[in-house]
Amino acid sequence: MDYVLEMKNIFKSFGPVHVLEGIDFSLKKGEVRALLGANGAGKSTLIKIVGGVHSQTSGEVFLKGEKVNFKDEYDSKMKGISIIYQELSLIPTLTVIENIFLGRESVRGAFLKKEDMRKEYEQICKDFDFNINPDVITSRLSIANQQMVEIMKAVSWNADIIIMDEPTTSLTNNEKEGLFKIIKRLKKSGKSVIYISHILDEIFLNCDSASIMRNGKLVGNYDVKDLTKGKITELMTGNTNSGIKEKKDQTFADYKSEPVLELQNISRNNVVKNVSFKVHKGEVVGLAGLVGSKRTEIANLIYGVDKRTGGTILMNGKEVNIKSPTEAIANKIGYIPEDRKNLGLILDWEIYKNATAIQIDKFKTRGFLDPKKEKEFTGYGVKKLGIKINNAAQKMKELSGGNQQKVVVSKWLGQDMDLIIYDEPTKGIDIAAKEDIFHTVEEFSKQGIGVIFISSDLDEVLRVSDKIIVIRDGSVVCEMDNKGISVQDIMNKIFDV
Amino acid sequence: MKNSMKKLQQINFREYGVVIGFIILCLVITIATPNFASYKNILNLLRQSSIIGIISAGMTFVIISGNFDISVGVVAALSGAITMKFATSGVNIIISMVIALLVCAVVGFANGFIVAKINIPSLITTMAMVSIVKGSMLMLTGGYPITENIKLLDYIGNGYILGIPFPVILFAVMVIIAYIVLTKTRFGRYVYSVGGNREASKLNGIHVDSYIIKVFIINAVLAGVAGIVLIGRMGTASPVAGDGYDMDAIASVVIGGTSVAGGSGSVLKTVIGVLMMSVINNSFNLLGVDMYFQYIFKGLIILVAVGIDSYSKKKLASR
Repeated sequence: MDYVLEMKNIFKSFGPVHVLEGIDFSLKKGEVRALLGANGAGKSTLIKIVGGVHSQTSGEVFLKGEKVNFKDEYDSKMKGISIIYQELSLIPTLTVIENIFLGRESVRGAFLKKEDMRKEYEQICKDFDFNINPDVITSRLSIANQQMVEIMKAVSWNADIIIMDEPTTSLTNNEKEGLFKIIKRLKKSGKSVIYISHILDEIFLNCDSASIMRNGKLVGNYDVKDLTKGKITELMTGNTNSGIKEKKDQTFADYKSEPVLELQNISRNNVVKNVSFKVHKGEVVGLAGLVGSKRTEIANLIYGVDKRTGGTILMNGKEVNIKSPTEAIANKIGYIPEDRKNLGLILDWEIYKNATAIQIDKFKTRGFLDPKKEKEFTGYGVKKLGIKINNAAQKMKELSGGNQQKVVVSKWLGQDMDLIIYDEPTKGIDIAAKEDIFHTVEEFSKQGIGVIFISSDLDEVLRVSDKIIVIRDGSVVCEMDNKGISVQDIMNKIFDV
Repeated sequence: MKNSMKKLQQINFREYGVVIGFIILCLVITIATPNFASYKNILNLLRQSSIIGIISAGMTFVIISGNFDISVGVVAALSGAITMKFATSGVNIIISMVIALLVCAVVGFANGFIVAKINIPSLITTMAMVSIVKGSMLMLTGGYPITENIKLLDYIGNGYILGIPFPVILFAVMVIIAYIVLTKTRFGRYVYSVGGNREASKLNGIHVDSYIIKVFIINAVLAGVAGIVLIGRMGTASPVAGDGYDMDAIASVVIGGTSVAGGSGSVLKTVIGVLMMSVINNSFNLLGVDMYFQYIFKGLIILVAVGIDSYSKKKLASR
């Protein structure tokens, strides 16, 4: 058989936890294969075995018919496997060109051949249509550009198999197009690609075939032509009814009373420009826009992370001047940040310590913290949000992305709030977990809490919002009531069609 | 065009701020104390700088790799003590020096190994090593200084080549080698990479542990070289000789502008840092400033230097 990669009956356990149970996976030369599954299905673990990060508990891996056992990441790389990791593998303090050649420098003896590398860099740029200054320190690039450097690095490695683990999460549409072209070019030159994404449209655009995983097992291999979005979600969740509602069907918005939040021409330098809108009691306001349209920056002004340079903020009709997140919480504002791993959670901590971080004063007995009360509260959140955990003292990092995000949401349960801001709460989490997150939005609004919901997934925005505000380049483009509008309508506003 | 000019200015200020500060400092001191700019004083100043300078060159590697080594002071003293001990008991002086440097390399290896493999933070590892090395050295010497006039050592400490003190030349050679290794070799590139992000470096197939170990070895051997220069200069190996050198070396590196966060920096910056520290010490002496105040000032200047770096990073992060 002409398989470049074959994995047979792969098992992987971490202690008592069985993550992979008998996976068979194979990849042909020139094939672009989607790897699909909910969070926690075992995709990442499977990829990490191919990448040499983990070794399988049992089972065999063959490269071009030869049995291999990867010693480490380097070994896998030397054998022709290149991975675009979800967490960037770039060194922030090095320049772009230094990063591109990291681990495969051209050398004469111990010395670097900088001229040769520069020439090769120019060739790579030409071949793949990149346009990034090679001498910029990587940490000074935007996240989207850093992602492009990551992609550029992986494709220039000249590997036989390129694995892309959610490569588009921080890319803008233009760059996505660029990436899709690159995938076509790789395919043409006989390279094989494994493509992981939660954005199903991308699968139909780029992939020939798909392997679908569920709970550590392979559901099956399919020709993409035979699949539809509904079929995929059905196979991923194992439900015939995917349970995803297309549209918001009830509202708790109270337009009669004073709005809980009113922004009047708020600005910050040239980043946020004269933004005005209102959020009413129980209303869900969706902020739609592209990555980089400065929606998070607007949220940061409301939550007191950044300083306003102009405008006023009213809460319940009274002017407030919030200068820090502490003051924001005191003013009954909640915030679920975009970057849950760095801002929302402390991954090395136990679940219950994370869950109680915001309302810590409520869990004291005679002035001292009481873990029993903390665990009780955590248990309440776990039940309410359907968080899958073994026990509340488990480390946060052991949970899947979706369950981590639910813990972030659970921090705010029972807190006295007038407003809560969700910033990209569904990034990188699976469909079932998404639905649970939407449910919390509904719950909060039912209690009369105003919700600001930021998402780059327009289907989601339509699914949860009463009102949709389109943001472009730090300004409000328009406000739309969520009545009889489609994704296309929002898209047209975003792209100024 | 205008934009790019502006960018250029910003970069230059960040990059060369220390150099500009250094030049201004020298000008001010030249005006305040006419003795400062004399040929004799400048040579003297360079010679004083060279011992800390050689240690700082090694420390630059360690700090770029994202670590610290506070054992360099005792390692320098150990190197001097071993050299003297062997030389005075009849071993050839060159062989004595080689033995001393080998022992330093072993200490460096131990530091690096513990930091890399056992994952104890370098500050703690080397702090413990200070105690271990100091104890061993006191056992070796019985706590007494060893004094002996050895020709070669005297030349290393006090000799001249073409009118330039030998230690200064040694310092210059070490800096040039360090510069070439850091900027022109794969080894140097990986030191930056490891300091920039240890985990990501692993993903790039870099054997992170081995680079951390090597960096600590380089640092300890350079500290050993400095220790030999020191006994040459003093004519005696004292067990308390290296006291405070670790702090001076770390201070020189960070004042030069190498980030304590790791992943960036340059040995040339370190040279500026070393000179800056010496000029400040020297001018305080010329101006007759209280010795005790000099300690306070040294502490403050470290906080300022690291503060500028850390604060600008914080600003950048919240951009």
